[in-house]
Amino acid sequence: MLKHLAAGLLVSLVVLLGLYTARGRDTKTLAVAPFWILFFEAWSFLPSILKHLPFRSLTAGLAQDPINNIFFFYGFLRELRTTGGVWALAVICFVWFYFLTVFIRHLGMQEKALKDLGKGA
Amino acid sequence: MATPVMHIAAGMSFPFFLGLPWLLRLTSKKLLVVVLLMILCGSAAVLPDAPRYFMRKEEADYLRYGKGKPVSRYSFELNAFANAAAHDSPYINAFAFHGSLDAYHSEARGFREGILAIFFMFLTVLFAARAAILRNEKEIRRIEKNRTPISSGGQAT
Repeated sequence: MLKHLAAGLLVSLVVLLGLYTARGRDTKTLAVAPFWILFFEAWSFLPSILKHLPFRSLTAGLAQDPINNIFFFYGFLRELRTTGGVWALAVICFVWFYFLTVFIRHLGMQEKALKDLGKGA
Repeated sequence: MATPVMHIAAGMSFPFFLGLPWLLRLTSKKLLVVVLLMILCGSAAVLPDAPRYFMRKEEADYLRYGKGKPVSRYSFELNAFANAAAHDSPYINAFAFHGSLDAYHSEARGFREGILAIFFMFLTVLFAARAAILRNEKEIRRIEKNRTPISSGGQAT
């Protein structure tokens, strides 16, 4: 479970921060980031949920190998026989706190802008 | 024995709940303090288990369950000693109730509860930061709109 969540977060980090940087540190991109993170997390974990949904003949097919690798390498990660729990947790915490440092930097920039605007007025 | 996820969640929950009033009116400094304290307390909560993470799997299993063959490597004995010293200490509950959580027995050893708690905390902080960013952006737009344009000869618009 942790491996899949870590994979979803890593993908969201690369995609969202790439977009944020490419769009010149755009506030709107950062504002929608939490929703995209939720979506990526749900996507990475979807095969586990699909098995329990109605229309199993339709949904269970997506949860099988090798199709399930479209869910951020779900099948590949499931087959990894490692004690990766602690490492996955470390990745989750690192990615999340990296996201928060981006928010902190952006907040700092905005506060500086507000201060400058206050002085200028 | 509780999983590291549960210990970390328990550790992070203290600064999270203490910082909740701050999250309503967030600034970059407050967010930085909450995040740093969450990292610090989360790490401190798993500190008593740290010696076990430096063991090989069979050594950790031998120590925890008594199964397998005893090993007599110096590093193992050192880690086993540190592990026992940490867990027998009367101050173990200072590390985010580590001892009490270890004494609590459940099927998944608090894994599901821990992961849910961690994600709840992370998402709450993230959405609080999002709200602060949008609020600041709105304030910047408002000030810029009401600013006196130089070209209009000092008359407010």
